[in-house]
Amino acid sequence: MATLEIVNVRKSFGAVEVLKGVDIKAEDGEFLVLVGPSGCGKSTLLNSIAGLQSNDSGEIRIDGEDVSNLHPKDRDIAMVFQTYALYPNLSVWENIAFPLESRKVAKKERRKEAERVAELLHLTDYLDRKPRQLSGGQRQRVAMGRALVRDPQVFLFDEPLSNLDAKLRVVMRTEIKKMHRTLGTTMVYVTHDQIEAMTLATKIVVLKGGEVQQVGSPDEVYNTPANMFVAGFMGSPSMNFLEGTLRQAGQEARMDIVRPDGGVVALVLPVGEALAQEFDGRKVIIGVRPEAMVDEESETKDGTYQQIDWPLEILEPTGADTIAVLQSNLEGGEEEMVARFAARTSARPGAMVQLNIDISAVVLFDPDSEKAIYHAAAPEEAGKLVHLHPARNTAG
Amino acid sequence: MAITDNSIHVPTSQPRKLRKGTTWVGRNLPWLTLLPTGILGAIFIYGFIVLTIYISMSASKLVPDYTFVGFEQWAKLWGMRRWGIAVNNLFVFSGLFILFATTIGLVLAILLDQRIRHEGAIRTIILYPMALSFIVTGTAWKWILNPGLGIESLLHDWGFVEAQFDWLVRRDRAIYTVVLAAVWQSSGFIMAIFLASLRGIDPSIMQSAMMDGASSWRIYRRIIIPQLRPAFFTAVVILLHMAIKSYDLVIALTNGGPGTATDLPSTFMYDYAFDRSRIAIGAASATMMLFTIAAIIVPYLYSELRSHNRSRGHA
Amino acid sequence: MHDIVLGERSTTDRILRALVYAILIGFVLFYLAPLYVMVVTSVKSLEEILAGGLLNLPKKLDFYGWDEAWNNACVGTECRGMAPFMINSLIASTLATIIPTAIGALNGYALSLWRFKGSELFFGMLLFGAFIPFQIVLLPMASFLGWIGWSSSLTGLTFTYIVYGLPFTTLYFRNFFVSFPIDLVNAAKIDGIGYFRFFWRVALPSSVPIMIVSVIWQFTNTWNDFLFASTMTKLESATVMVALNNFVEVANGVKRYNVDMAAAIIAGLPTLVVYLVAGRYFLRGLMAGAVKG
Repeated sequence: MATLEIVNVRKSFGAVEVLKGVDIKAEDGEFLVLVGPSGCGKSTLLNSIAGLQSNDSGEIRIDGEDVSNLHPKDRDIAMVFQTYALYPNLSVWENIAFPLESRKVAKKERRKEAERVAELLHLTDYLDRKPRQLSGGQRQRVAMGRALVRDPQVFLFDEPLSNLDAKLRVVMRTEIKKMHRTLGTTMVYVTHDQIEAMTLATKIVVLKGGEVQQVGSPDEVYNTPANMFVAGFMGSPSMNFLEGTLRQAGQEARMDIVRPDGGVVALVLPVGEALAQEFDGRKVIIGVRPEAMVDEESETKDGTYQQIDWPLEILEPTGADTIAVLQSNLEGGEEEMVARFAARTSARPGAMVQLNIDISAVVLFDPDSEKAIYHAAAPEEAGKLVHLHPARNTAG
Repeated sequence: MAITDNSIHVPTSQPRKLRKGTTWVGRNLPWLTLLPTGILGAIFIYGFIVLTIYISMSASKLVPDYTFVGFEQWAKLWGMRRWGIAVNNLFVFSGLFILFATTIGLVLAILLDQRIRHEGAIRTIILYPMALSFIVTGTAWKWILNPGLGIESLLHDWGFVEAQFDWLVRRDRAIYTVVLAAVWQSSGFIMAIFLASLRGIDPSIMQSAMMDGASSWRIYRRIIIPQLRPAFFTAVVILLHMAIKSYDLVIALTNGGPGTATDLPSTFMYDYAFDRSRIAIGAASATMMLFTIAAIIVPYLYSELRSHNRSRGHA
Repeated sequence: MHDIVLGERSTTDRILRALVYAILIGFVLFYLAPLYVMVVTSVKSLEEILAGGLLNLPKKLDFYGWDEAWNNACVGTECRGMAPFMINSLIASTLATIIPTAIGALNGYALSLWRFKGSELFFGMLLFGAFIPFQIVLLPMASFLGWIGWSSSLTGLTFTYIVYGLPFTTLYFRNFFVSFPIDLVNAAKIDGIGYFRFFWRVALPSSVPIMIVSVIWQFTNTWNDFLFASTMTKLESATVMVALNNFVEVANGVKRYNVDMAAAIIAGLPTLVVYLVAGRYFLRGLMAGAVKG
């Protein structure tokens, strides 16, 4: 059991800077998920933690001790690879117990340990098989078994589920979550799948271009995204963005939104006087999640709804509800918006539809910096956000 | 589900922490492993190459004499009539060898690619000469081509009483017998290269061309053979390399004769370095051989290694 | 398979197909003919050979040629047949197969799975050594062997084979291990599995196919070698190829073609058997030497 600290880690491959000074701290027992699109540096960061590559600068601390210059084997970590990395010529039990072999554990003892772990993972019947005789899910379990047998301070997972089919992925996701709850060991998990990140993590780190975009609980990252990238990346279908102009109206602000057809609609947002004053007359972007953009027939949850009229393009019934596709007004006009309508909606494609927008769940962004300036879900933070993020920007 | 609560306990059989600092040897094992080979290569490949080139610039005759004489021996070499014959023979031999081996190899590969019954057996037969020593096959060809009792007498038996086939002992024809034996020995390998390349072509490309109504001749000429370009390249480099190094076959078949009619640089080198004891001339001819091969192989290896590394990409 | 020249639709197709088979059979006969001639000549009596009929089957089987070649044939002043030279070849080729294959396995492992600064350059430099014309090292090698007292000995020849076999064996194993998943090595590093343990327990057991390729290549090449063998040996230490050439070249008086052919078959048989048993691996070795990666 251990804490994990990543302090200002930088790494370049040739002229390409892959990690641009990453700072993350994970408490003991945390399930830390590194998430981001491919090329964001998440796997590089994991390899840095594992010691499979050296950093250009910065420190990796496990349990307070700087391990940056330690060989991987001396870091007391275990890793589960995307490709499972099973030794093809060794049987299942030998694969599981192989780490113990170099620790001079007697063969009988090794077999006993492998059997114990295999039982947890339902592999008992396969102990003497070779990896090629196993299914994808079974190989995945063997890979986990090899990590489990070590009892390390930190578990590392490198996209462990991405080679499994969709159904098995859900099953294994649950198992990994159970494993974490049972063991209580610190885990670092890399994925590009934001659903995996949301379901597994106690703490999510969103990465892009080698920089940390946001660190927070799944709830924080989802409801109070730090910037437009995080807002768009987390959640599926992703957050909708609309452009408009803010006008101060006392404690509140009116946001005028020009529709693609030229009509103007308005939302009134309780942003507070300071923010309303600062952005009076300026362009802002509003982010609305699909589930906060509903039609008349939808069962509305608690919230503060305001109506705007918007042209509807396409309806895609999914059974439980209907996905409505609308055109956003963002520059370029290629952007689409997705709203969640009732299963038996009366809306008709090609006509104007009345959208109910839950303004207690919206986020406002500064279009220049793309940083969040207002979270309706956490209005008390709004003031801090405005001033905190530009400062970070120059530091990073 | 698989993992049930409270069932995982911390195993006590292993030490909690292992802080065995990695030693210098431990960190440097990969290149230490290669050190013996590196030393051997440095001495026996590169050291000896340099030494041979140096000998070729020395006054050595019967015994090594390390007086430096510059390019004197090279000039002498290029002035020798016999060296001229050897170089000329190399051009004739390698040109014909490459032409015939490539053509036959390609034809065989295309024919074998037509869902032939017993393809495996036929391939085995076509390729077996590659497993044999040139000394063995040279001995056999020498017997088959001998004017008295070989093919010539066979032709006589078949009624071609006038037929003459005495190329093995004719100064102006003997080199072609070497070509024949070399093509016989190596064309199977070229077939294998082309066949591997043909099998790598996506069949759907050809199927779609067929649906477009292209004739099979046109499909081969316009679609398939152009895709074999890398195989052609490989085949020519390999054959050229083989031709320059050819030695055993000539020794066994003609021993460079009649006279010096089938001398190649390789047999010339051996003769001067070991039998006539004109070491510097022998070294100079070996140097010429090395330069020729290096001019072909170095760019080839470079392009092969580069494309190989590119295709591996970044993991 | 691209059977686009030949469908099975019309008469023209059937004629074309017959033509393809006819051409192939012609080539098969062309490739088999020398072997056939060797075999029938070796079991004919000398009288029958001198009477002509190159392709005829023997009227009467006569194993004089085989008996002479194996037991009595003279190489230089030695008249003990091919047998002693077969043993020389066997010793040299066996050692020159095992040792470079073992070293090459370790080299290839280091060069592909544990790359370090300069490892690619090292490989490139070594690879060049596989393609040099050996004439370029012949003179210094002969002097070197003389200097350390191994001249004209089987030891010297074996040493030569080992040294110049290393580039090939390293090439084979390197190109084999290059396609080995690098995650296996990473997993081993994290789990504290050492360099040699990983080699011994995982890499080497997985490399059996390429080991066969390397063994066949080294054995065939050293068995068939003539250039080094004729330079580095004398009568007692001659390999079978040197003996065969010597024997065929210098026979006085009437040439005994049946003995020649029997001797040639004896000399060629070991590699021919290896080829027939493991032709797939033989071809793979040839191809790996030609097309890297």
